[in-house]
Amino acid sequence: MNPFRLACAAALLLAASPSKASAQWTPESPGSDNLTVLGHLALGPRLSVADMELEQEVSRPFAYVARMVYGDDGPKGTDIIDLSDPTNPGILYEWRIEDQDLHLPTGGMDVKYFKWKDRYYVVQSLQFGQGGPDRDLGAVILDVTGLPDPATVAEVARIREPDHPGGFHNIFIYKHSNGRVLLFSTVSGPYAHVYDLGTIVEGNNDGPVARVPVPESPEGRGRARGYHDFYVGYHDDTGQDRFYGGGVGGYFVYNITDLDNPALLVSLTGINGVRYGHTFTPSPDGRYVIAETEYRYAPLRIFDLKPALDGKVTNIRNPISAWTADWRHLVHNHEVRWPYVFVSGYLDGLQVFSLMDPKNPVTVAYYDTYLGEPNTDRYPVFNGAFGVDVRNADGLIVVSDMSTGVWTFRMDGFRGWTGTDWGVPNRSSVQDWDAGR
Amino acid sequence: MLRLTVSLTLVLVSTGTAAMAQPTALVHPSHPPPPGERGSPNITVLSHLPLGKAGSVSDIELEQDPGRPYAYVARRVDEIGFDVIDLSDPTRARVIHRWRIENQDLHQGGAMDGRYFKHDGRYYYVQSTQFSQGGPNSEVGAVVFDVTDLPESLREVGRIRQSDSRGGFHNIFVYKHSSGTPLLFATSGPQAKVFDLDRFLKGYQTEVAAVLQDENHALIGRVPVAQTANMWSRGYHDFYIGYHEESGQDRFYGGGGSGYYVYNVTNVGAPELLLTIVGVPGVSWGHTFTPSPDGRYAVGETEFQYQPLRFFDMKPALDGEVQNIDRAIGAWHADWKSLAHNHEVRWPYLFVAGYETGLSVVNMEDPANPYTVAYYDTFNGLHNNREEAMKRAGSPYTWNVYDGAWGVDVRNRDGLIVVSDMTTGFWAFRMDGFNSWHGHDYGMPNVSSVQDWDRGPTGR
Repeated sequence: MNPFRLACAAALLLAASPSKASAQWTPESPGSDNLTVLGHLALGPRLSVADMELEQEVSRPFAYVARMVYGDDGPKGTDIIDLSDPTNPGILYEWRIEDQDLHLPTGGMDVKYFKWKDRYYVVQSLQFGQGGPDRDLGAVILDVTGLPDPATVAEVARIREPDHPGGFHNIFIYKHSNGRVLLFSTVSGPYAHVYDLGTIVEGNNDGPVARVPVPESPEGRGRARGYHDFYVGYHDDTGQDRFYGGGVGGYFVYNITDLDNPALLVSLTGINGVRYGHTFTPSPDGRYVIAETEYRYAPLRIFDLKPALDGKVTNIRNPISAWTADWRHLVHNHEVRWPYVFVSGYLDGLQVFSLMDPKNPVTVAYYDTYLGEPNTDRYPVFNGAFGVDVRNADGLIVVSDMSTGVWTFRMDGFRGWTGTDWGVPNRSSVQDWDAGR
Repeated sequence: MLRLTVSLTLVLVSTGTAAMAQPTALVHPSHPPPPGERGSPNITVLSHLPLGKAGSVSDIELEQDPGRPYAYVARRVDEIGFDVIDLSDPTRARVIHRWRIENQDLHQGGAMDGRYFKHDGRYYYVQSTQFSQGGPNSEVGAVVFDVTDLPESLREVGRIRQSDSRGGFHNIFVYKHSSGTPLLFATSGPQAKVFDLDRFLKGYQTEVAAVLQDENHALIGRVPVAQTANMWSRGYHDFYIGYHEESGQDRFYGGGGSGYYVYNVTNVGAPELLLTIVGVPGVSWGHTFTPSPDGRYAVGETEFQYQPLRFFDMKPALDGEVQNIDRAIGAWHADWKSLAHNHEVRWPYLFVAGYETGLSVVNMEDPANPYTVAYYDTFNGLHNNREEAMKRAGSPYTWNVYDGAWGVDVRNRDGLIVVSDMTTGFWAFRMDGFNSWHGHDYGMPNVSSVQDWDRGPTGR
């Protein structure tokens, strides 16, 4: 392990104070001392910001922020943010669905970028309600190769699913071991759809190339099943492409090396307090997973998949630990850069905890991006930090807050992330678009 | 579109007061707490009685009448029965009787919940039991004792058997119904069964041998669990029955199935569903469920690690605006990694037996913002001690969160608080400024789990 990074990690862990995990924002202490706010960009109305994505090449300092209407007002589309100076983020370009007023909420939800044949693209997932146009529209693809010149941004495709109206709530883009760049999307059906993005941007939009099913469980049978979110990663030990999905019944891990025949490896169902899985992210080696379920008072649960991966059991139902910023609230999305988990914690803003000892997660840094009280007009805790991303090259951290906009941070001692520096495979949500696995 | 880069300083200054109005609440110490810091300064330990092997203690019941200073602690595992504790001097609590089931070694299970009642001038104690079919008495749900002659003696009166739903009664509640009849509500099968205790006692006054009697001779009602999709459980786990002054109804508050259920049981033979609390995120099953004295609010527990006690406002359902409540208005935790268990409401206080966090007292005057006002850590051990759980239970399943304070009770006439701790035994406390409880003193009906055995809930 890199001695410098080891020393930094040790310092971070030593500095961590568990009692601060539930600290609330105050004027005197908005965040932990080891977290520096680089920049902040307000983006408009309350509850109008959803997820975000950060490009990974330092030479392409762009972030993408999904825009939605969860409150009373807001745009429906994508904001492209210039981070060439992270202390002074600015909007480069706004993509908006045409006739915004005719389109019923919500709008843009999840957003991911990819590279294909030396061009860069952004996929913006969309969800439009009944009574307006484009209920069948799941995503729009923009060519963003020419950034920072906003005039070069061009829409290249739309993905529609007439048989599954309601759009795509979440998406994930993965460079498969077969070399294809794949879009995984939630749909209003008992499976995740898989699209070949290379063929789509080349003009051959023939619909999904595969589906990953949601197994039946006591919580959902027949069509009353679906995914909420997922992560797809390469598993170095086995050479498998693995799908980690959260949805009705709990969480599920599939081997999707053969896209035509997804093979269920592990299920996590029957977990006390979990009827629906939400975000579900593995450690780089695939042994541990961080699992969220989307209701107030629920902590993130940490599971050890080893007994199932070793074939001793087929289902896991007991977490080995749990973590929360404030038990009265709820934390949302997360990005794993082992041993750190970067969390967009709704009302609690950005939180970082360490899984160095997975049985004893410890908060190591935080900054409360959300400055208000819980909602009274919407579900109380659905406000504040929605999305989070991390640039592996230099450790830049970005957060999209539903009401306060975009934030950029640095954490002391975290100047970048490579898995091998921490003794784990170099696996995260970040893809190597050129080399693949 | 508003597009404005706001400096961090501006944001901080303009909204800096957002978090200033947090309620001032006591914060439980780390676990195990430092020496001398097991309790808040406003809690005084009057006495402590270790009762035996760790894990052998379950629920507790405290008699209420002057001149009868007795508590009953249910025992399980290796000591199956109950202990009678003399509290004539609460600072010198002592065990005066230990009743144990015959042939303990043959029985698989233990005694769980215990309740006392008074009828026709005599005092009785009902001990619920749960025995599995691998041993004797799996059909026995409760054993009834005449305890009138305490401290000298107690006498078993009879056993309530239910052969059609073996496994015993996990929880019971004894209620003086507005009809004047003392009723026993018991978990049994996919419903709560209601037994007329007067009829039960009279049955044992005949010369017919108990074993020859119809075991259902005192069974006068069944409170169903309202059916919903994907039910976690078909039966009840626990309940509370209280008189609702405004409507003149006897009301049943049950936890089980997929949540919580309120029935009008004025006519015990025909329970009427008033409302459900199901579909609450995180609550797939109800456990303990206790209303405020006026029946508007209720505290709901669900028996899973990480789950707080939730506070529900039932008014929209009681007013007929909705049939189901699916959202809590408030929640409380002593330690979010643990789990709180049984509780007693003495408005505005909620006395909680919080497993590993011991006794907590919560102010729920504003049910949307409950907060801790007193505590004492009776368990005093590591939380979530998986290694210990493996040794004791052979499984890390519960992470050992099911250890520590199981039951709590409060004596209304003088504010005495008692706790049964699964591992450390019996405890008696006083809380500063809490020298008695009467609902009217707090602008509430004088309704709690304590019954007026002589006059009944209507005071007639």
